[in-house]
Amino acid sequence: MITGLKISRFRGITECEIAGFKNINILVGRNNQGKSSILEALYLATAAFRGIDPFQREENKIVYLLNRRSNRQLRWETGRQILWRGYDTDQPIEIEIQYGERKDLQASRERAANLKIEFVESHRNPFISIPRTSFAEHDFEAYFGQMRGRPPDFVRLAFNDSILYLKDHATSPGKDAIHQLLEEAFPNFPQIDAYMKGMMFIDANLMHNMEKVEKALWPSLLRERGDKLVTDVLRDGYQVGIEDLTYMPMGNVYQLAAKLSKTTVRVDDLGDGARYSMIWIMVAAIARNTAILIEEPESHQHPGGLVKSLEALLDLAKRNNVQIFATTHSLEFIKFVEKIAEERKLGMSTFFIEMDEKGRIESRTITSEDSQYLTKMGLDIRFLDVV
Amino acid sequence: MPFIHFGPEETQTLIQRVRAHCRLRAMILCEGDEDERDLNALTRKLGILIPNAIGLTSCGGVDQLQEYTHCVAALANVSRTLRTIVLVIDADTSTVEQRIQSLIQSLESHNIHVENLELVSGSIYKASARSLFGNLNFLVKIAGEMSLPFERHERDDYAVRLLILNGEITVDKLTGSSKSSDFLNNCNKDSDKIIQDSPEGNVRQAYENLVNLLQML
Repeated sequence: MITGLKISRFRGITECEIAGFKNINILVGRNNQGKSSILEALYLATAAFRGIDPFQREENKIVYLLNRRSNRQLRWETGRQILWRGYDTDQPIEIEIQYGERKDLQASRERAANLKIEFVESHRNPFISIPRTSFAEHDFEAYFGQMRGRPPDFVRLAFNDSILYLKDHATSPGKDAIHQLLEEAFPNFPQIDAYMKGMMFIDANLMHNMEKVEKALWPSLLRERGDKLVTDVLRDGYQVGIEDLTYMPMGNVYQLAAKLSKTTVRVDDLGDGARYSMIWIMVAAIARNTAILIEEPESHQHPGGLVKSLEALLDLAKRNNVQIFATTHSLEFIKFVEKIAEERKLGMSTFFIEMDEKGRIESRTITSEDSQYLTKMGLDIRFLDVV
Repeated sequence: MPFIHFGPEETQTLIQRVRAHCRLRAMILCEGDEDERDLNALTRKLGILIPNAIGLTSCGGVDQLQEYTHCVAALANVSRTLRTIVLVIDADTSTVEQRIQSLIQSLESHNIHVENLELVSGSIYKASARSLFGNLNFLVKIAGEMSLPFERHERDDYAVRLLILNGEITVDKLTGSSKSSDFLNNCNKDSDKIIQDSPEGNVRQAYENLVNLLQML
């Protein structure tokens, strides 16, 4: 799992460094402090591994990030600069990810991989940037030949496009060779690759795109009978007298629908809270060894539904080895997650995120114990900026 | 300016605080709501000016020192702008020296390494400690009037002393109560009301150390 993150020059962020991620990670703070941008940065980094958005919300992840906040139909050619801090595209956006299992980290620091992702204006996909020293000399020479002068410190690798870049020198040795190089640079690369490729970004826009959700998730969900779990959560958490989920014809298309005792209704007609939690449960049910990014999961949620959904989400996160990153403004949500994570013996950290006028993000880690005593003192952890 | 109260139901204060968007300079931790009421009564009665960035909250519990320690540790872990933490702790059955040593041991056990401990006035101690984000100063007031014949000493001792100074009771009336709060309960008296109804000079004398503490902020 990801244990640390460093972001430079992305959205409103000049610099951001956060360490100490656990299984469940909650980002809290005032508006415009960079919480959503942190989730977006993680998602952007995954585009170096797989460019296509699993929900196909846009032609690829980058274009989705361009349009996610306000749908202005931006394209790479017309709007890419909005992803750069101050629209200044001269320097690359950099995202450094520390990846490693906690137990491994304790045993040996070397097993943690520092993965650096760079996004330059001249290329549509982010690069994986690898220190030159990570390669054996003979491999390096095989791909680039003898370099004149001092070789650069980093090799840029467009994994999606199977291209190696070294300064002005580019070569396309093929996917297998690139995979081999990556495995040489990162001994746990297969895990990192699966983790990054599998990461999904859930935001409220998805609630209004149930067709895309169904298309992306339903076949896998049905195959693994995760539909039973979704049915249980809807019935117990949202008082929907649901017996089963099915596909029903509407006009010339089929739509996911909830079978009630006397009728069947489209999932689209359920309340917003039920639909939103249904999306995260569906995603968590099919995800394996990866992460889920959820923006404000408490949106539209009644506490009863929220608890049931969170119980299901954290059970799935534990079972499927899925790391969760969520932003929130809800103290209730944090308390529920603290309690459920403790019961499930899942590590959890809450981060208070604060951005200064220069775009530098500072984070404060709030452990469950500290949170308990801060609350006892009447200090709402969403307002930690007062201390 | 009154203290900025922190508590579970302080919606009104929360709104004010959010509007003011203040950053706290100091936070006073005391045991319970009554301590908070007394501190407010003292500032009102004696016209002590409190800078607007001082927070006041209660964090006592069954084991007072443990609760204080947890609260201090939580503040030390997350605070960036807070520079001073003020602790008002009942002496209970200990002497002032024993109580401060117990507090320091408790803080040390939570990896808060207290440095530069010094007695500044009466039963007020000053110290410092390193936090994640810089240095934190501590002001610790061990509350209790040791000259009074109670088994356990606490902040309400000062209210009893005030009653004696006012001539309302004599020391021999205190026998039979193990602590001052029991005595006040039996007399059906509230400490903040006693402060409010007493002459200013007597209040200043009875609460001398607490007044000094407030003036140090």
